[in-house]
Amino acid sequence: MVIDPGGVREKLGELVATVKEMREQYRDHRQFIAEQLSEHRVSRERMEERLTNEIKNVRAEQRQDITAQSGKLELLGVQVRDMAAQTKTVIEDIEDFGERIDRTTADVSSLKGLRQNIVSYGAGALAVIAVIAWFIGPFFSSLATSIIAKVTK
Amino acid sequence: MARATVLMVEDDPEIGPVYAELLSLSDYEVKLTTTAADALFELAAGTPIDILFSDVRLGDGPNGLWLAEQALKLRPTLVIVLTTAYSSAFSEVANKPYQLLLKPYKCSQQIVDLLEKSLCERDQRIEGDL
Repeated sequence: MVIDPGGVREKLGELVATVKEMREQYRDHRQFIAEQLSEHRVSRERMEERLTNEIKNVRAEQRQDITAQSGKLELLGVQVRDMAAQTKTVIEDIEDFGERIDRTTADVSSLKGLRQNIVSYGAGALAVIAVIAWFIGPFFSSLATSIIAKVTK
Repeated sequence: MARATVLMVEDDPEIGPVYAELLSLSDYEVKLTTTAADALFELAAGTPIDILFSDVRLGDGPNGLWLAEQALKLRPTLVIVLTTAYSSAFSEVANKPYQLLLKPYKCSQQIVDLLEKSLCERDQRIEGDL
């Protein structure tokens, strides 16, 4: 086998050129990937920051809502306690009023009894007076007649 | 007689009136405003106020931190209590003469306790200066 030095040199030259070209391509490719990675990192950091801010805002809004709701609940509790106290007072007033009505009813009943007694005793007394007048009426009548007669003489 | 007069600055209409009412029930006189500008006007007008109780975030206008700084310029002995739903605000008020209360509150008594504590500290500070 005859080796052609010129041919080998030429092949070697081609090989070196190919390797150089591949290295350059590789370098470009690496640079491209590095740039892409960098952009991706920046983009991811921005997204993380935005998400973090959004999470903070959502949490803050939740805290605002909880604050509002718990405040309203507390205020409602106070109002309910006030209403319960007022209701208790009204119930006590009604009970007191009921007792007074009972007392008044008893008083009215005793007054009715008294009136009945007065009417009964009055009728009796009137009857007694009528009987007395029946018996002593003529005596007073003759007495009056004799007095008038004496005066007119 | 009221324990003290509180200038409350809260832009949330669901929160401001409710806590103003709760503080009133705890014997505080409460003046409620919704913006830093309105609150500053009250302070500048000479309204008797013992405590500024303000939210840190107040809509699109100036925030509670700005209001607190302006209020202290007008009234150096004013008690300032700031409140927020953002826990990050603790770093913003570090080394400043304000109390910070994180929302949500456990109950209105938590606010009352902090107000009383702040008033006591102010009184001690004033006595110390004399």
